[in-house]
Amino acid sequence: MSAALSLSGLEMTFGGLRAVAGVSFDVPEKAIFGLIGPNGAGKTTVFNCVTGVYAPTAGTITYQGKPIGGLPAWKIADLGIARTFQNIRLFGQMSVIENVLVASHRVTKASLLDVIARTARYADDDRATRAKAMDLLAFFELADKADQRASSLPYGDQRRLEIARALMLDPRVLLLDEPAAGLNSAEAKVLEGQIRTLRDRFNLTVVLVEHNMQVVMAVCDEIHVMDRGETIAHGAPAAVQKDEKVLEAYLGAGHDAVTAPRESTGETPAEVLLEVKDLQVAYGGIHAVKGVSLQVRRGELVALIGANGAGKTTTLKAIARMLPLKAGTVTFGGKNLAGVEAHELVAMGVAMAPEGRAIFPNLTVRENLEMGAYTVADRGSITARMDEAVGLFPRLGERMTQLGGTLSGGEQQMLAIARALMSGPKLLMLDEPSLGIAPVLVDQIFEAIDRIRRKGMTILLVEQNTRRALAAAQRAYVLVTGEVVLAGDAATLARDPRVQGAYLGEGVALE
Amino acid sequence: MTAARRLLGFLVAIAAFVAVEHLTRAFAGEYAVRVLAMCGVNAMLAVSLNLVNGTTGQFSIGHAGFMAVGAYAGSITSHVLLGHSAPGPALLVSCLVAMACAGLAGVLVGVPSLRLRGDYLAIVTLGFGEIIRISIESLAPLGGSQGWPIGSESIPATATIPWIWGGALLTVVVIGNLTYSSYGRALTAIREDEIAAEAAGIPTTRYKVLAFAISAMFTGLAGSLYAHDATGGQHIDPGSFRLDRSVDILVMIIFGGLGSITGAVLGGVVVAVSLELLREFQGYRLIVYALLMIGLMLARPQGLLGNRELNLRRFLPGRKAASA
Repeated sequence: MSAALSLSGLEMTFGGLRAVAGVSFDVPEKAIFGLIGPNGAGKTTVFNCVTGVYAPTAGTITYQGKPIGGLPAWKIADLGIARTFQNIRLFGQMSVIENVLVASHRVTKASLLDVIARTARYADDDRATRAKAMDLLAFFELADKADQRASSLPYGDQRRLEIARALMLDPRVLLLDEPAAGLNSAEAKVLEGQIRTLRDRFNLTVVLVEHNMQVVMAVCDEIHVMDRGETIAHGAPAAVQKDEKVLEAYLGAGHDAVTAPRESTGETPAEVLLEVKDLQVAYGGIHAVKGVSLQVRRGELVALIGANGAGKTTTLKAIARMLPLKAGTVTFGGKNLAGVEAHELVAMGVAMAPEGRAIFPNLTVRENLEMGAYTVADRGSITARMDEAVGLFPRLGERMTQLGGTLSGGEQQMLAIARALMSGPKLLMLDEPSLGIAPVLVDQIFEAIDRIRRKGMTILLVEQNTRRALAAAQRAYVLVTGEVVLAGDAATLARDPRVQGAYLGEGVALE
Repeated sequence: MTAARRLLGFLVAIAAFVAVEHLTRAFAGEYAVRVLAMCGVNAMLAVSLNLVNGTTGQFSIGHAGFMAVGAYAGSITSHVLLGHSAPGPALLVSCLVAMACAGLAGVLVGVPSLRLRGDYLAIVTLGFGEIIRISIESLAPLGGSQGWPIGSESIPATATIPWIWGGALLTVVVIGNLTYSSYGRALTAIREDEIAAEAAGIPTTRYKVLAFAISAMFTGLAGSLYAHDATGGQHIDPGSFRLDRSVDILVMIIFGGLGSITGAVLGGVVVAVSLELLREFQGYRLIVYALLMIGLMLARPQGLLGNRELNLRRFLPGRKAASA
């Protein structure tokens, strides 16, 4: 069997976290191979092991019959494995053509002395590599922009330039890390065609990490699915799409959670606390949010769900005044938030537990909580809220004097929520509270969220784990590539097959 | 390039050398010559440091140490050669020895420290710079803190303006050709994004050490010419190679614009000339100098030339190839 690349028992551990826990697969020659899984599954870590950014903790990576695990990144690039990066890593201050030329340095025949003395050999070499780079740029329709600074290119061009740079290495295997991120569905369609063309024209094996399932299902010959560092499925696209484990990984487990007690929502509707109208946000060349409108009423738990890259966190950050709005308005308690600074928002009664938790690692748990009460002058209410936090999360009580950075991921999440509550907010915004956290702790966190809501807190929840989010919320909005495609009662949405489509790329009809 | 053109270029260079020698003797006063010499030494120092700090993006503040290595190695060599060789060849050999020693010191310092980044690299290079200076200070055969040479002897005053400016030109051409080539692109890529540079097949540590060694080499050349400066004191002591010397070089490249070779030359000249012009402020000289610096940084935070080159492309052969 001819495998272009094969992984066997690959493991990668960071501190106590097993990001990749024994993954094995063979990538057939000239295949387009998809590596998918929910956020935190370990896909990019696998890429980083294969390309030498990390030396794997255990297991082997075989390429052309030789083990390459642990070799330095430049050596692996040299051997013919090229890659792109999830968050685009171009050489921003260099021109477009220079970006591509950098990757030809390894084949340069001119020595340091040739370069300094500008010999004929240097001139020939320079001419040849420039011609080759221009060919590649022409293929990606970037030739007329060859002398522009890379950082000045629009987002789509930057993605293509990264691929052009990778191809300058004359690779045999090309690893693409989320090439469709930030593309709209029309652009993603074009990308599908380009990936196939690339494979045929440059005679490549392509490995793809991608969250846009439409793209994955359309181009991949074979798909490997990971969740929490482990393999959960492998096979042809159609089979993977129907796999129960895959559905569970993407939509979250917990069918029984849907039956969790829920109060009737049919009473007199409370006043609108937060109102977002036609919100548009763009940054780094991506138009991430394209006109989102939503309402959160006092005492409600509203969930904002959708696949990775749908614009959930961006919406939340824009509400929290951490990103500038391109258009639209955000009103909180009747007041337009335009012109309000992020830190002033806390005093107005909006608190957030950000994605990735962002606790202060070198402060103790107690100090972290005190920082959350920075805007509170009254010692008495700080003490009372601290007690409340401990009541909500007994684990934090046991660890009051421990440094935040020594807590586990789940405990850090508890701390982040408790810290947000310390300011005594009217609206609590939670960004991906279950991300990268062990299932047992996810249960505890969602129980706590439920208790916080019962005390009358208004909550806006951004969550990838759809089933959990819909079980906890009263109402929900489903985002797909920056737009609200579905909205309504959470219990109804939980049964709506279109929600599943929004994640697994079966094409949700807009409007 | 044909052999005839090479020969022609060589002859032109010799003619220019002789002409500059006579012109400075005939027209420039002793004071003007001293400032010119200082400008040349500064230009060498700044262009060398710019290769590391500007192009490769590695923050070094220990280059005074390499200048000291060059100055001592060069003047000791010419001391040994004294009486065995004509002054010109002796200075040439001294400068080559100085470059070799400083380059070696660059490799020795670079290998362990260039795995570090940012503030850490700055602190380690600062430390190495001081180690070099203090080692010289405690070596009795080198004259310790009294300096070199010991007693009433002096370093041959052979480095006239054509020597110093010739050295500066060599520095600009070699480092310029290096910067605007595939090697220079690799170094710039390291500055821009190290992980992406590795993924593009560039052994980043090796290249950082290479940049550091070449930079140290030409800093050593500057040190040797400084020691032999015909208008100088013909005596060197460790006190001339303290941290403030490293900071001075840093100021020159930030003044001129990090990443720009012509900017570095300009920065070196501006620093030398402005320090002279400010002499009339006497005791307040350094205060006025500091205010000038703050003023420039407020007006042009990117330095005089930013990271672009002054349009002297015709003088940099590499640029010609690059724009063709």
